[in-house]
Amino acid sequence: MRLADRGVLKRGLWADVVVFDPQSIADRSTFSAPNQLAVGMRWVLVNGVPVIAAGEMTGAKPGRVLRGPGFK
Amino acid sequence: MGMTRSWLMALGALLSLTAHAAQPAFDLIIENGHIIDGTGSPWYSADLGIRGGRIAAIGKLTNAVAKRRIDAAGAVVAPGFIDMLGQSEFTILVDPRVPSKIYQGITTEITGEGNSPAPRRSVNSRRCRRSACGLPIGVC
Repeated sequence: MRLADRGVLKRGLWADVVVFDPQSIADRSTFSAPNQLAVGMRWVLVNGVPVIAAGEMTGAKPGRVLRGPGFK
Repeated sequence: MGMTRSWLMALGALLSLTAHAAQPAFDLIIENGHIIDGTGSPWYSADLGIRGGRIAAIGKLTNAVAKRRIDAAGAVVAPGFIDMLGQSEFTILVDPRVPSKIYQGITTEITGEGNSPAPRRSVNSRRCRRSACGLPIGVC
């Protein structure tokens, strides 16, 4: 996709960051109960804004459309 | 003359002091985490400073000024995950907060497989920006 300013933690890049406990992170959906959210994310930031804060969804929508070089 | 000069010097000292105090301010600092930076390097302990939506510093930021601090002791601090083929374009329409994605730590999604309802021009339209629509995550 040639997204040059996301995907690693480096000074100057967009602050898309996850904070999680590696011991408790888990996928809870099963074939009999497929509609289950994953657990273990403490903080999820998109463009520096929390969309999950202390494990709770904030409702913030800081995302944006990212266009690759193929966009016409 | 002497009075004016000493007054100016005092003012100059005050201004440089204020500039020094205001300079290292961050919107948010995530401290004490295990940084896994996504480059393939082993993890290391550091604080992550964010300003204006971007990563402004990685290092020891104990004495830096921040509007908000998050304690990440015992946790991993990593780049948000990129879903290379998410196909949640309809899910976004059902619940624009896309909890199924963000609870997995996904912050960018590449969507569409030849054609796609998203991204659309309307997502960025003026009417749309003013109203409730918009995206919780980046969408390619």
